Amino acid sequence: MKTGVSYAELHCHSNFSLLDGASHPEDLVSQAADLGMPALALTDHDGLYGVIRFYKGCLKAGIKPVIGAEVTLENGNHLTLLAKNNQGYSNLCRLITRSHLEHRKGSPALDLDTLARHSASLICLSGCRQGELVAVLSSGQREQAQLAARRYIEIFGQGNFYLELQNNLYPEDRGLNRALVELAERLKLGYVATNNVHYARKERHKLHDVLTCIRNRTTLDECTCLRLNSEFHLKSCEEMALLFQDYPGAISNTLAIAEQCNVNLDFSGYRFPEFPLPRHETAAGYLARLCRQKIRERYASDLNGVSPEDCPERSPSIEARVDHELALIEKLGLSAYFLIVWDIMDYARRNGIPAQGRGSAANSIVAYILGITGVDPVRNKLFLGRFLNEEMSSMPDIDIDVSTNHREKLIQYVYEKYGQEHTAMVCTYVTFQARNAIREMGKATGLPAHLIDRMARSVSVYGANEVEQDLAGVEEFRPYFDAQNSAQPLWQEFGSLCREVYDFPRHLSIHNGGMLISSCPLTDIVPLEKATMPGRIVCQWDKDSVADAGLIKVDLLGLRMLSLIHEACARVDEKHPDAPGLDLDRLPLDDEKVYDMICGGDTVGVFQIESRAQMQTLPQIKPRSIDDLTIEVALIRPGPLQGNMVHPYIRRRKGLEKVTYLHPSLKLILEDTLGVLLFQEQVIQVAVAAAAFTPGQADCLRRAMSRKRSKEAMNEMRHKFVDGAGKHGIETTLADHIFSALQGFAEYGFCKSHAAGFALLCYRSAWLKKHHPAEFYCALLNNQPMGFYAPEVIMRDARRHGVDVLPADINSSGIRCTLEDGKVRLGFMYVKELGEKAMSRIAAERERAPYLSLADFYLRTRLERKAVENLILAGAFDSLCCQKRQLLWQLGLLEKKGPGELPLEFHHTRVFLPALTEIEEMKADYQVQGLSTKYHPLQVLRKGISGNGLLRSSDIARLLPDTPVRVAGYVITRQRPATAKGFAFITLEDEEGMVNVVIRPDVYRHYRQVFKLEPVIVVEGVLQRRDDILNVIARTLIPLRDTEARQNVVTEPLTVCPHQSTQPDLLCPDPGPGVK
Amino acid sequence: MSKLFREAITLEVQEDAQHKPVAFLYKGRRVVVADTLKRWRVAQEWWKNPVEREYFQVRIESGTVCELYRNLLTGAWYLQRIYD
Repeated sequence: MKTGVSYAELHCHSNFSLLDGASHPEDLVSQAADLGMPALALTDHDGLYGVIRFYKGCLKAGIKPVIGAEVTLENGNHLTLLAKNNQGYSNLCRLITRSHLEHRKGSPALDLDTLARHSASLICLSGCRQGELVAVLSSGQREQAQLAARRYIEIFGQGNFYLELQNNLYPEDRGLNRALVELAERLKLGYVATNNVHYARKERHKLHDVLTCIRNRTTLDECTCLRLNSEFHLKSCEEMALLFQDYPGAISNTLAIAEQCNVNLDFSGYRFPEFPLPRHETAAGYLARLCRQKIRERYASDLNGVSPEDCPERSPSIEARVDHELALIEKLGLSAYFLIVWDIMDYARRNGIPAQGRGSAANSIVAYILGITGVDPVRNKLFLGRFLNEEMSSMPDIDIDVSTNHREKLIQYVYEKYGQEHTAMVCTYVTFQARNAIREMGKATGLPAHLIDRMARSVSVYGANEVEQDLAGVEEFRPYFDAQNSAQPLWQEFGSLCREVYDFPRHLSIHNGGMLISSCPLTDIVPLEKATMPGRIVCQWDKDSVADAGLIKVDLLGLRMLSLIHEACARVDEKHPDAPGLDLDRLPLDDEKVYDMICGGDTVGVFQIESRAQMQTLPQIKPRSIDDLTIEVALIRPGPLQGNMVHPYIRRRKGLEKVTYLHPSLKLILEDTLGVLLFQEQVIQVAVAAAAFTPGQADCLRRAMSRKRSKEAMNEMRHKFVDGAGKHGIETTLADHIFSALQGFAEYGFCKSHAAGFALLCYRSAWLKKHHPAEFYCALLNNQPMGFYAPEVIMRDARRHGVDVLPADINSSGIRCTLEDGKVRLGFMYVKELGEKAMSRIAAERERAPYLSLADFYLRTRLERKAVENLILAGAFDSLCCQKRQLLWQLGLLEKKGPGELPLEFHHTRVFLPALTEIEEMKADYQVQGLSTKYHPLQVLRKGISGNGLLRSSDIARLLPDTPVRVAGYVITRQRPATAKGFAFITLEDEEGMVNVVIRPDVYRHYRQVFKLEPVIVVEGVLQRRDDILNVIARTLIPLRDTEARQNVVTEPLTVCPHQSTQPDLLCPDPGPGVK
Repeated sequence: MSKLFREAITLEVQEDAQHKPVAFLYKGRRVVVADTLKRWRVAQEWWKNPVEREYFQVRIESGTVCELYRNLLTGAWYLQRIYD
């Protein structure tokens, strides 16, 4: 391959040139490596989004990374810029930042003056076909071209400006290159060859075409701006040499330029932001002083007013622990970081903003004392090593959960305190995954719309790369994907397009709330741009790039549950104005009635324990303390299930299995979890106790185990462990066994401090549900979407608990839900097509006088017709006692009246309209607000099916186990968790309650489309009862509307695979809320 | 002015090592290519009727300019246009 000639590509786009580049940065690097390219540049449009990934990839592959960007100028022209060194890199960041901040979002542009101000240490290439020089030369304006070139020479310097030659085998390329070379010779400029690369390998030109269609909102057949050919891939130096055989200097200059470009993207030196300190204080000193001041607040109350001096056994260990931790914090240089986080939390507390630190930070006693977390690490036996230790290989992040309603305020505070120059939000990408890939690839390739929709809703995998495989297995779609079907070549392409677009960034968003605070001005390191939210600035890196660049961030994550708790407490306080305010931080955690409710599985709306899987386990585990809740929260997750911890724990908890320990010395560590390894902290503690590892070494071990390092690395660790254990008197076989146990669980263990923080919220939300249900449900309905269930399910759960839910009403409702005599009144926000302005207008007008009639309402608010229609259908005018059809008719007449006119009535305009039937009314309800306060779908359909021997949920509860049953229900959750070995689960609901349905893999395969798409189904199967938990093991699933099939249900002899376990694992935890 | 053959005429072409046209047979006579003026590639409609061609705008010995293309999928040559 090596011929003595070499070539480096200097103009190259990754998929971070959104909807234009068709390869991941890593794929570009990999192809460059295959081609033996010594250096590669990344020049995405107006951004450095992918540079960290690119940089890392290049270093790993032994290719020299050249960092650059293709910038857009004010006249729309493109220019290629490359950074010579870190100063050039900073200038590039500043230029890109200016181009974004000074223009409308999505239309970055640079003017030449700004370019000139930050041009040092940059190499400029004159650009592609959209560059100024090419545009001007194409129309034969040689003088203009010379002037333009001279302008760039002035900005960048003679030696830093090169004319860019491209030969993608377009008709004009040859002529243009000749003109450019002439110009270069006249002005004594260098010229260099690039290939305007938009994808790594030639075949990707197809995806590139499709992305172009998406970008232009059109289809392949209709698109007018597809590229002429497929010549925009990374080419070998032989190919490039041939294309530029007339200008060999253009090829050698690629290396000459690459040689001048040397940028180092390790910014860990900038990572520690500064905290504005009081005079004469150091960060470490100030932090220590704060801790000493506040330690009594936290631990004095634990001692119930007894001062630490009177309780000597307790206090020395706490103070010693604090001192030890402060010393470690100082050693790691994190004192200022803790102060920054403390300051944010303190501001939150002072301003009534509900917030709590989450995750491993709760292992820190300093964090607890400063009020950053609410979990006492001493009482919860948490272990600092999980969060901080001497051998830290990566910096800790402190994440803060903030009430969603208050998050903005907190973010603003941070911006104002540290300044726009030093603060930016970290971005995140919405990527192409199975569903949106199907929709967008399908639309662009021109597949029929209804098919695209069905595929998108039927797909059961998450990653776009598995779409074809998944859908081809569904009978409905198989014929399309059949390779023999040559009449449909497009379908073949469709499948591979989905595969190729897997994980591509689709667009930028700032969903997650991470904030970068840096000690140097941010634009020295990373470009900034505008977020969609006005006034919000976001940096161009996501959290992984930020971490890889060595920077620290603080995550301010919106947690709706905090908003719920805050709102519910506020409403309770309103009701009891004379009582002291409800302060759930001080709530005792031992209310038996609350635990009774939890143990009964009555947990819709309760934080972390409301899912189907949780409801199945709560009656088995029967948590009766906050420690039990911590375990419950940690236990029912994919990790522990895969790691086979859940069932052993449950068996021991029920007394079915003896509690044993790997070794007596580990009893203290494992007794709370009945000898079962459950928490990541325990893995570390075991390594320390059994094998004398330091906390740092133990955490390294835990991390290495959880990432499945190489065999050699594991063996080395095993030796070390066994040696250390030997010194503790543990003999080799047992030590080996313990190590294997750790290895088996390390990957799946959950972080205890995280669970403990969540358990607190879990208890508080349960307490509210038990003792203040009206306020609880009102707040729950006001903070959707949240949790596992749709609002309609919440509404019905509320009713079952004696809290009625009333429809929105023009005279009683506000924008949000409110309480009326202990009932929840839905707010206008639940009605579709009602915007903020409309809702405010209703409320504002009403201040003057209540609404007396539809006409009164309409003429005073003058809302859009659709909005009023929806209000009518949602029942907002029900208090006027006029049936809906009549109101809709009236509305039509009113619309034609001008303001101030009197409505005239003519005889022929008075009509008698039949009232809406129940089904029509219910359908309208669902269309207009996603729920029906009047009807349950089964209630309405019941009459039609009462002859069919179908049972209700209340009947099921009275049957003996193993009874065959047929039950109809409305599907409120459907899941098929990856850990469930092919089993699927549905929760049905009818007028009276819920029924759990379990679907074996063979049954699922047969009825997959019914499972995925039908809202009301009939299940025929067998009742199973275990520990007071009822499940219907399904044999058939039939859509309710399919009356014939329903009436003639014949149990088909499905072949049951002999190896299939008939015992479904009911505890398979849920990855997330049920899909509708 | 040019004469575009709506149905390109199949051509027998003598190529060099890089598949560039050296000479071709037209109406029984061997025509030698003096100069390649333009060369470009087209790859279109891969989703229904793939068209992949390499076009050459050449000047023949007599001075006339014409446009040939090679179908990249089959290797066959065609005469597309003659310029007057």
